Amino acid sequence: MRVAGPTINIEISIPQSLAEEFIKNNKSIPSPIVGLALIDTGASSSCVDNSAIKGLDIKPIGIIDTMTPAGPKQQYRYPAHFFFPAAKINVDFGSITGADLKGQPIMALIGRDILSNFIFVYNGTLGVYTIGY
Amino acid sequence: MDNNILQKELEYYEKNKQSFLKNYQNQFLLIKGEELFGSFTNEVDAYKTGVEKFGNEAFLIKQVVKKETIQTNYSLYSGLIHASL
Repeated sequence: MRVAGPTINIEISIPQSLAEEFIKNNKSIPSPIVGLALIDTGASSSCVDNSAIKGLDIKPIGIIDTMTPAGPKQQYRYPAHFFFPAAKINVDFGSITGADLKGQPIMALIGRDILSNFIFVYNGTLGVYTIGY
Repeated sequence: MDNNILQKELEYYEKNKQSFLKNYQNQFLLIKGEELFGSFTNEVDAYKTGVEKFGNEAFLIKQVVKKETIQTNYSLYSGLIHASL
């Protein structure tokens, strides 16, 4: 866990209300994007890789200022649905931030917006973490 | 970020921000073009209404707050997510 960090399997799909709209209009629903998310207590908001969001054809609903070493940068906010298969937890997000995670073995960051609903314990000595709902 | 496809909506919000603060503080506004389509107590309800009205098109959902938040993702933006020694 020291090398990869506290990761969790995740499926990212379009929000429920958009899925209902697609069904109503006989449009096919994009398949969920499956991958790994990193639990990141240093992230104020959860992020999803921009290419994953593009693959789901979700349109942005807002913009947020982010702080980078090169100064402020704007990123789009997108609605999305997260499913954590191991825990069978579904979360329909108002919005999450698009980010460039290209080249990383993860496709999402689980930030403090999600963690504010959980108890998260990082046990570095044993190399395990626990997350409770 | 590519060209800002929400530019028009954001300009409309900024132009009317003082009035929105007076009438809708902390609520989520649904804006498309230069028109306000409703205020909501949460983002999910605002999005649901937006999708019902506009389908899968871009529209703005904006919480009315005095001071905008700045997102910080220290490890991501420092390039330290998977740095190795």
